[in-house]
Amino acid sequence: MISDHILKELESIVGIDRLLRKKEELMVYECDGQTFFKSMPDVVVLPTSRDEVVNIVNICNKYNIPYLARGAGTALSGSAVPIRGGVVIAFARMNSILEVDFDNQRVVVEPYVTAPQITAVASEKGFFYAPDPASYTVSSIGGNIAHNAGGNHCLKYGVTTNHVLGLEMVLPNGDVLELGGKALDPPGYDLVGLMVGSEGTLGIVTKAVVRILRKPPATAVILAIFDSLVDASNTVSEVIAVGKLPAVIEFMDKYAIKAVESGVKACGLPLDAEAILLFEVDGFEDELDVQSEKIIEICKKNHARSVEMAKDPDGMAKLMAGRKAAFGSMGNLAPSYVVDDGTIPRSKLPEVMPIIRKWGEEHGFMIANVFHAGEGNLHPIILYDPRVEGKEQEALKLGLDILKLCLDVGGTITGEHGVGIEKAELMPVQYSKDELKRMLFIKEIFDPKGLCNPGKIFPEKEVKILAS
Amino acid sequence: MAKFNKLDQSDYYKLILRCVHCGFCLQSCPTYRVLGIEADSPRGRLYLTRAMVDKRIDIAKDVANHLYKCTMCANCEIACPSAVKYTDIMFITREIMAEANAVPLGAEQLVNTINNAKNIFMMDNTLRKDWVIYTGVEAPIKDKADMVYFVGCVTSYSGRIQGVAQAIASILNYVGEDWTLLKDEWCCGHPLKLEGATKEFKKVAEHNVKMIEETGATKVVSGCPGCCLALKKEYPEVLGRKLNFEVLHFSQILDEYIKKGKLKIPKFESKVTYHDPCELGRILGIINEPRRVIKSISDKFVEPIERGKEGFCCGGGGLLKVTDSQLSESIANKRLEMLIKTGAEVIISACPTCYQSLADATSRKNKALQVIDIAELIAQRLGLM
Ligand code: SF4
Ligand code: SF4
Repeated sequence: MISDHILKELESIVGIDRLLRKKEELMVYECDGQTFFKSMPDVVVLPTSRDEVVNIVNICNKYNIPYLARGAGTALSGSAVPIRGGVVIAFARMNSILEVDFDNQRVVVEPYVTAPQITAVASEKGFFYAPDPASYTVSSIGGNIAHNAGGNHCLKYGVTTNHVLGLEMVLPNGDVLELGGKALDPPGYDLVGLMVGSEGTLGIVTKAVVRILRKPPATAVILAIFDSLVDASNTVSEVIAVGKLPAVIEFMDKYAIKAVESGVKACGLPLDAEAILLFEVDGFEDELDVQSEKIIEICKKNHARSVEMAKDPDGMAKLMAGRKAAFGSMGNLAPSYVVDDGTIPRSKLPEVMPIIRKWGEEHGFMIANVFHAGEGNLHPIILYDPRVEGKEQEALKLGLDILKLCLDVGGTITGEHGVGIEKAELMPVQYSKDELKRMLFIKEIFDPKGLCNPGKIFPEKEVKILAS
Repeated sequence: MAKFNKLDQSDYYKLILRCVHCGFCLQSCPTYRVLGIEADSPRGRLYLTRAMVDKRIDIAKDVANHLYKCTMCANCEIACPSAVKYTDIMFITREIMAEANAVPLGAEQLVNTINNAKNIFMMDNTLRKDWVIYTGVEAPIKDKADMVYFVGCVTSYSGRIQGVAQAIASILNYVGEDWTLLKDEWCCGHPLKLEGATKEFKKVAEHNVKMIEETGATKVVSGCPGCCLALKKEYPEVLGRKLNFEVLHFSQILDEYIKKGKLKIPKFESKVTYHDPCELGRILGIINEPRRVIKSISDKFVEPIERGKEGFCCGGGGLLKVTDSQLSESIANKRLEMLIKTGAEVIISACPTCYQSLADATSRKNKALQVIDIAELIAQRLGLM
């Protein structure tokens, strides 16, 4: 509980309209995109400027109150869940684009700006912002930075860290730190890189300088339908092995197809297929043709039932429609789900995909797979009904088992969703004690009191053991 | 309360559970876009609804304050990949809130007003046709006619919007339509439905349907999308039967007249844009008709962003004007910005409430920008007013 005089101090910063403290106002901040982990904050504040953020952090510091920054709350690992209560600093009101610098291909934004907002201003002169996680229409750049979000196009264009060049941060001691800037690749330690993906545990981003890229002159989309998971998986490895990178390779299995086709976003994908692959290639027209032909050839060689290609915007949108709708369509199959987010070496796809399918069947779960195959970034979606006693726990456990499987074949426990609360217990499996210890040193340097988004990334037990 | 218990495991709960909390609807919501408060977002409202059903929070006015800020614009339904029937859920939820007397004061007062006065302004309902006197247009009241013009409260009573009624009446006369006003029109009741006052809504529906059916009309036309929605979709639902007349928005009638060559309208030279009323565009699916009408008289038509099925609310929807007028104005300001960006000199609307919201926002901004209803624009071009 936060006492009234502290609330008054917070109110003196943001005013009564931007301070939420009633139960029904707080309850909706108890979880992020995944409703499994729940913990209510004591108060939510909505700052509109960096200085307000500084003042809020100073108050938290003065009274030892835990706090965290929240963007759109679409993350899936509990990273925006105030596990120890305290203050949620909701960034929804800091959503302005501060500068568009076409000469240097940079845009300066406040943390709640979304990727489409950046692309909208950038497209005036033919540029775009590349990272596009599934939630990109609504998720905030601040949240994307916290999780080092990837997206469909990261195979060719890289993930968020490749597009963030500068940050303005409010550190846990209340200092404002400017990191990086408009220039590429500054010397010394890469502190911007350290912050990107740190899940808001080292400080709070209040401004970001991001890179915009010139839109490719031409694009094509290829949709290939397969009767076997293994054939589709082999195709992915082979396409990458030939060297010319498509911008996107997306994989959807039969349950993902079923989810889309059972809802309003149905787009005519075949329900009897085992998997589909979607490729997007971009570049100059002639190059595009050569590349597309090669991909089509590999698909056919791997027994694709059919292969379709489109180059016009409408046709491409039609082919991509199912993929775009996939995540959100899961509600068509079950009322709740756990999405996991492990990566594996691409060559292991043919081995891992059937195992996931088998485990799901053995435990009585539908597991839908829709993911960025090009990077081997799996997103198994374990569907369950929360009204059935014990199912939620069981789903979560199965998810962790799948992540362990990813580790066993040489992968990682998270591609882009972050560790949050959900995967903290796997950190000691992924990393050695020495590695973890050094990470905790870094946390200690920035946040010695442990108030900044506590309880995330590192398992409590481990933190205590390593600290002693 | 009883209703919640009964509904625990029912279809209502299943509808709520379809929301997987992804948040993909956030940016489509006008109240969230302005306030940034989760409880004032579609996802937040669904979460609170579920929390009430699960008895984690009480059915109380404090919760209602968030639920009734929703303009019921349905834009979140378009964005939702899980096909959550947000507005269906909210109509049931509001019924439950109304039964539990947990409704914001403004909404409660509006229900009383409609119950007593049969209009939303607490005016004498016999003065409903005074616009005919003020505008000097000819408007028949007949026993029998082919077509009924259902005027609606806002158009009947609000000074500058009476021009829309004048325009519609004069165009119907010009074309030689056999039409009539109702002898005793009541509020269409859509605000009652929005509040959750289903019983009262049913009474109003019964009255208006009886009035219409007595005229033997096969067509009912209105310039108000809210009235159209009530008459076309909500009346048959609440009365549990099909009605013997077709309901058309006036933009559809205009479209038909133009197609049949009944109207020869001189071109309009100014650069124009069009704001889709939520109830007309997204909910009733009338998107192309008003555009065809506008394009028939303008070569300088520019589309705004967030239009058609994804049209952004003017802030006047739901009961927001009575539950939080300040928020309503902020949303209108936001929409106006988007319309101004088109560079148009004239904003065309097809809804008296949108007209009001946008015109008020324009005057707050001190912009020399004209907001006009589609019927008025056509009547003016035809020299009828
Ligand atoms: S109906 Fe409109 S105002 Fe209401 S929650 Fe949905 S988008 Fe927001
Ligand atoms: S209403 Fe739809 S889009 Fe919004 S959070 Fe729920 S499932 Fe997602």
